[in-house]
Amino acid sequence: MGLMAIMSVLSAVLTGRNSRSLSTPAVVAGRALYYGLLGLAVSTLVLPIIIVIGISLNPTQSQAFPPSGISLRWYQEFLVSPFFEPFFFVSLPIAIATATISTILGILAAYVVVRRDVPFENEVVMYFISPLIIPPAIIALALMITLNFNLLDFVPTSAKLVVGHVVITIPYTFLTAMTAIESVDTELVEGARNLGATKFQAFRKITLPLMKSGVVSGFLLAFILSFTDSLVALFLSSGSSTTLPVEIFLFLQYESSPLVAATASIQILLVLVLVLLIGRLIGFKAAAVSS
Amino acid sequence: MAFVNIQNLRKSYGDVVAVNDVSLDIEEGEFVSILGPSGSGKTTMLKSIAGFVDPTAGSIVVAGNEMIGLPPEDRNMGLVFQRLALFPHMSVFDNVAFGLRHRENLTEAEMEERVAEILEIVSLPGYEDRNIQNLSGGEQQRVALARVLVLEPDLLLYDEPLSDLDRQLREQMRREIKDLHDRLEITSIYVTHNQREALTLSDRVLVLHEGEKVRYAPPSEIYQDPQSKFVANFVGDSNFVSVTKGQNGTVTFEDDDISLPMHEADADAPTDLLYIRPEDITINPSDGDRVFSGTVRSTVHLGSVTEYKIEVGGNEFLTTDLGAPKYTKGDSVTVQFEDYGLVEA
Repeated sequence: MGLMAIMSVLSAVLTGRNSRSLSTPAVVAGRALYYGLLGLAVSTLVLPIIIVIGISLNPTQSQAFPPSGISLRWYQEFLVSPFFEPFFFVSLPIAIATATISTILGILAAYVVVRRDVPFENEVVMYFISPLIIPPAIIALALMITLNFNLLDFVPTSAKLVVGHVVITIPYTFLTAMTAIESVDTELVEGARNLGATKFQAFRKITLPLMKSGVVSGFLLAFILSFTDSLVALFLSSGSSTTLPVEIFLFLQYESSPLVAATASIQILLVLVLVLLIGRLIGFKAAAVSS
Repeated sequence: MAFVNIQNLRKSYGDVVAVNDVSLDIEEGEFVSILGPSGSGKTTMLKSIAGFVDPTAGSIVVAGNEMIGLPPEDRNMGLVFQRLALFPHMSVFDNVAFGLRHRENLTEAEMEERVAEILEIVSLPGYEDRNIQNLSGGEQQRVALARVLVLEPDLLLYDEPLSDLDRQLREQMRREIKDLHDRLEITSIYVTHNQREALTLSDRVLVLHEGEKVRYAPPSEIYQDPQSKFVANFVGDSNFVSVTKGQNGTVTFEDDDISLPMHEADADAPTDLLYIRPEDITINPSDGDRVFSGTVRSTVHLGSVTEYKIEVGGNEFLTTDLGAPKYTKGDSVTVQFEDYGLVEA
């Protein structure tokens, strides 16, 4: 966030109308800093992605970058690889279920905290965002111990994974929902009640549509977190319910091939499509503001 | 029983009493203003009537039914908000039809007819498909009115709906609200801190001060006989002078030898505070009694009137005169106190 602020200030300086000031030492230094930071951002965020995609295009077993040729061989391999099933039949459904449940719970909790007078309000907020503060490994361990308790043997592993992922994603859906609900003027709700709507009808017809962008970005965040989580999944996965990141992790212990890179590229593409879709639906700005 | 009967309404937040045992009767078709400065409890009172604030004690009966305990959606009242509270994600039609959908069982065709009818009344014919955000301030005001009027409420509540508008639009909307009330005769309660709106719109005005009912009377009565310093000051400007009552039916200014004959009605008033309205002081009168000499201390030209501060004896008086300034600072003038009265401090 701070980085973004510095960069935007610097870019404002650089694109300033007064072209003569471009040569002052301060601006030259600012420009150097700007490009330095930009380079850092590109190299840490974008470069690895480019390398992964590059490797996935290798025609041979070699994981060379730049690729020794251009081929879609490993994308074909993916369809019959051990990754295909975890991708589409474990990770994807779990991410969708997690995002749905987490978003609904997040909205309900946020609604109560923002719109009702509840005792221990601050404590409730702390409770819902506590998964952000506790080290992920501790959460994963605690979940493993709790969810593998004998009495819970009848619960399928995929359901346990959803529970685990809801726990780690709830702070995000809760916080985005809180901001979104706070942005809806209470007088609008009173207006609806005055015109004959019950509490629930007013929520459904006024609050919910107006907090749409917050709901969507919360859902998206939860989806991506669940889809890319390896830690909780590593502690909870078993047998047929192994998520994609865990499968990749296990695979990498014994083998190495551009197949992993191809799988990762498909994952990146899926998230990218989702983000673009959200951007198209509600606008990037709205999504960024509400989260 | 009156159409609206409020008995000993009380709302306290911990130790803070927002509304302190206020009782009020409103006849059917009457237009009543609740007038008071901010923090006087007027909005709390209105929100209690609408059902958004739970009163600590008291009763609110409208058209024979006790309202306390009923949720807002079951009270047949229309509330016009200060910030209008129009639904930004809906068209004009959906805003106006919102109440019809919840309160009445109409077919789509009947609903369209009712909406068209009410938009005609508020002079917005054919505005159904317009977007709320693309309307002007005045048009939004009218949609806010249409949205509650379409439900033909028992009681219309206004929460300072004109305070966010610029002066010209405010005057225009004030006249429109008056016209609408004259035509539709819906019992109305209008909350405002603007004495001009309260005096011009209302049949009766309730003056609130720190949660207490100070006065409940028709506007002319309140203006001519304010009875207390707070009301005299809040409803129009006033000059105040401490006086002593003489034996022979006169009042004498403290620290001064100016004496004025006392009104008979004030003879028993247990007070020694005199108020004089600025417009009741005439500068350089042609003749008459109660004339004293003074000096102009300041002159402010306010357009159609000029405001003077004139020192008479040991006191300074605010007075207004029609037209451009005729006197300047330092001029010696005579002033005549045409009307005045005693109020409680």
